[in-house]
Amino acid sequence: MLFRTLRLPTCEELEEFAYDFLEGNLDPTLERKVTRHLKICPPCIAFMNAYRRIRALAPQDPPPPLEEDFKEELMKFLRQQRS
Amino acid sequence: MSRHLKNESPRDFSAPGASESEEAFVAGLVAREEWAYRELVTRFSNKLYQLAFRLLRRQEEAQEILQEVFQKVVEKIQTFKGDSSLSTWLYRVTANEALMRIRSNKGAKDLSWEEILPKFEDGIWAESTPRWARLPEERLQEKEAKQFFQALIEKLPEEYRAPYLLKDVEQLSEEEVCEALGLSKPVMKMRVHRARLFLKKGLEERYLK
Repeated sequence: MLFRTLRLPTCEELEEFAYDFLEGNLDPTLERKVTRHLKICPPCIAFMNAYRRIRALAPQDPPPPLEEDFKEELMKFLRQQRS
Repeated sequence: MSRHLKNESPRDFSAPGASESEEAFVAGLVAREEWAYRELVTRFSNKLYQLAFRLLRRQEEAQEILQEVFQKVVEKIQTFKGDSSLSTWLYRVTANEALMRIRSNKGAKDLSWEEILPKFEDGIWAESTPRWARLPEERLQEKEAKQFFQALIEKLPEEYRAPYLLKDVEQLSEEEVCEALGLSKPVMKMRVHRARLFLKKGLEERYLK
């Protein structure tokens, strides 16, 4: 029972928890265990660093803006629906 | 896995999501008031266009989708019950229209997840992750790298691309992504996670091998 309580996640489990770990969704006990595993396991450290960077790489550049002319066309279209 | 998650008691999404001002806005749309249509265009056209463009990557098609979405708003706004916010509802309509267009355009092929997902033996990594410390951030911000990353995103099948775009790019909450795409939370998380793994592998093969 004590061993089970102290057991850290395996690397495979850590990979499964990666999403929730980065999103802050894990309960505090499991979050501590994942953090402890990440202090002692170089392959998991490498994985989590890469995973974090991928998450941060999501493109934030805005697409080309919607032209004002087109917005006016949308308004004309919507006005037609009123009649 | 769910037993390890915080906030186990679900938020009450059945409660009306609309504030009083949103209720008035919806009422204006139902009544086809000019001011409500103007507000719809002003407040939402850019964001919805942005989502459609990110899914379709074509300006003209994204504009067409936006028009179809507004057509749907005119036709169906009276069916909006306020179970979610109006913006979530609009995101859902936009995502559905864009995804239908992608399916009819024959979107990305299915991926071989067997080759993409990490492999383990007895719970331990069977192959290690390349050292991303060898890949400076500046390199990934270069135009070529950004274009490559964008091309990788477009290779994702739409059932993975859409949740990834809404969660990581548009930065909607998990609940909003689930509402917009009609997914359960476990499925949404799995798809975003797998999308990230696919993108990670793609960059590793390009820059770290």
